[in-house]
Amino acid sequence: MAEIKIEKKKPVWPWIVAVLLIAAVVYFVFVKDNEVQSDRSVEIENTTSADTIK
Amino acid sequence: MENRDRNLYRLDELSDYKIASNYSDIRGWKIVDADNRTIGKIDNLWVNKDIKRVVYLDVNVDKALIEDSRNEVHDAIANENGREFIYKDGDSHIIIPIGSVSINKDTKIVMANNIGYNTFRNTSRYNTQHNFDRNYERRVMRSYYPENDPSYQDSDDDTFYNRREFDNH
Repeated sequence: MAEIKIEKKKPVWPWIVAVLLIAAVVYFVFVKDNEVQSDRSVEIENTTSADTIK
Repeated sequence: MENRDRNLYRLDELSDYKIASNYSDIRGWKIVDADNRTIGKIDNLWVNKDIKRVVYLDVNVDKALIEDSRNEVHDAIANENGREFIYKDGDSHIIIPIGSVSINKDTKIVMANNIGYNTFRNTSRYNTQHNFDRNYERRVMRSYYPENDPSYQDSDDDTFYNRREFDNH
């Protein structure tokens, strides 16, 4: 004879928070790092061109 | 008595509950009697939140069966014996205790093993616009299992579902 049990659905919000956290970490590690790198390059370029003028 | 008092809900109403894993969601499946005659389609599942299981299948009765039933009413009225068989328009659903059926996952067909077509034809139906009460449940159980009649009379809310017809172990 048949039997069907029911259970409480697991909440979705912990997954959403986890995905947002991972996205934030990825953003800070890769995107922010790239921005700092490119700022440094510009600085080096500027220094080099100043030397050339002299 | 309201269904809420008995902790009885349609599964659709409970947005925070679902069928447990390893069990089939049989909503939409066909239900047949032991001779493979169509009884109807499973429209919903009545669940008891206390015991966390399905207790009744809510079946949308097949039109042919309703028509057969109407013909019987006409015959009964013709014989001046029609009082027991009065149905209103829209009374198209019946409840079937979960322990009375077996589920075939491959064919997606549910079979009522011990309840025949004629019993379903004579079982009182209800309208989904209105909730059914404990008296309706007793009437249905007496129709399916007349031999157990006295035990339905005095049972209180806690013990009503604690019987073989609901497959409680």
